[in-house]
Amino acid sequence: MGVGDGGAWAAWSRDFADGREPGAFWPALLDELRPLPAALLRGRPHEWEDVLQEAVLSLLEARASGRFDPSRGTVTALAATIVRRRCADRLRAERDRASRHPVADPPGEAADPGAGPEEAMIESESRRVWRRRFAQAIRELERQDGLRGSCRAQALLLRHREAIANDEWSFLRSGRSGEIVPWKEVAERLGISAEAARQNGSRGLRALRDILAAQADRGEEPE
Amino acid sequence: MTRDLPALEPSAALPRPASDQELTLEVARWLSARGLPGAGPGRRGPAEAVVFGEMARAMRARAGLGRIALARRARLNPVYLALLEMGALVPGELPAVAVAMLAVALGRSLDELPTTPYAPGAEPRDEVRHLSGRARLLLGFASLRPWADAMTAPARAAAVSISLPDVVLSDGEGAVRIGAGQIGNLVTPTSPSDEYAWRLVREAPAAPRWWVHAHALRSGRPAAGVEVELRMGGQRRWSRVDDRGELHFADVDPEDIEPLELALGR
Repeated sequence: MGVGDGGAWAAWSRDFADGREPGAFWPALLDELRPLPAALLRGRPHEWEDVLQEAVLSLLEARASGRFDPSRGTVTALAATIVRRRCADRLRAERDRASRHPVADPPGEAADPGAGPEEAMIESESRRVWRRRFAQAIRELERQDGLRGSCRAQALLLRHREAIANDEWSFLRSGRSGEIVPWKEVAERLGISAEAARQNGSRGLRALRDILAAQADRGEEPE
Repeated sequence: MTRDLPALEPSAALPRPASDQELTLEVARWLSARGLPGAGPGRRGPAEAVVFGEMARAMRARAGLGRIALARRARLNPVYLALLEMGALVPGELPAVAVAMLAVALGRSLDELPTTPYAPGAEPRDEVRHLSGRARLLLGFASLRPWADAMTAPARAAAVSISLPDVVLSDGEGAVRIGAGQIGNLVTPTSPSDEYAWRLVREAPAAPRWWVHAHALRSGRPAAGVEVELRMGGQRRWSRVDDRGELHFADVDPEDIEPLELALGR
């Protein structure tokens, strides 16, 4: 089935909506979509298939929640829209990162090119201590969230996940980090409104600072 | 539609895609056949699993790895890893060993993970499942903590011993209790603990040897002569219980830990 087979895609779209798509459906759909991320995310081939996999999941979510109506458009059109949106999200994140860190050091790596093995070990150990400290504080925040019925830790983790994964802790001081996930996306992941995500995330950051400060006051070392 | 699908677990016999494109197709087929796990608007797993998946994806990106590359490093099935990252798994499909294997592949101990897919206090505990004469040991989060510490220690030189849950297996002559089990790399339990041995411990080689050790009893007495099979990841070993009831498997590869099973020999 090729790009021009609109009629065939219309029939397959109905099959997909009913949850009885044939075996050839997914290979054909993926073949249709594959040029999109390749064109939109040039130079980042390692992300192309991730985008397609996410698009598949979003497509199935749309079907499961009754948001796909084959009488209003084909499944290829919806899938292409999802892929474009996913690519745009990634490009925006990349732009944000570049604008905040025009000349960024490799994340989490020793910046001093003359650093020897001992310095590298100290750097690595310090990174591990900070990771443990952060994880301990987040667990405390998660525990409090469990009691309060809030999702502050989850909103904060989703919002600042790139910084956390890169061992960039400046967001704990300023709330800003190299790459911040929009509240809208945080909200989608948690199934809440963007405003609720923003409130939870902002309060979570304040609470996390308090927990970290209390840990420091008590002189607690990470377990 | 889901009847023919194997149980979704890290070591399940899922398709093993060789390329990223094959992986995408397998993920699509799997999700389509199985359906989405959640009932909310996102139709994904619980929030803890979704957040953990996003964090795992961010850590993988930081490591500069694709899904297949990380799955290989973690010895997880790539389809499983893709579903985990996309938050499409429910807690029963997220055993602690999968989280530990992923953490180690990302160079982190369990205490260095920014979050886990479990609600606080709901981390999996040790569990034993019996199936067709075999006992599968599902190590809990707490048991796997020292394992992940050792796997991420410099030169993997950390000394460790992890207690295993007791197992009861049966053959034609009755039940055999395999207890006081340990997996570790400290001085071998059967070695004499003289001064020479202790010096060996202090000057342990960079990559210590790992073993599995246990006691096997039948009706309260050593189950001498009974043959026991250990399956650990892709490793299969057989050992005979000695006159003191001791059972020992030497030189196991600690990285290849899932699944962990015991069975009586034939």
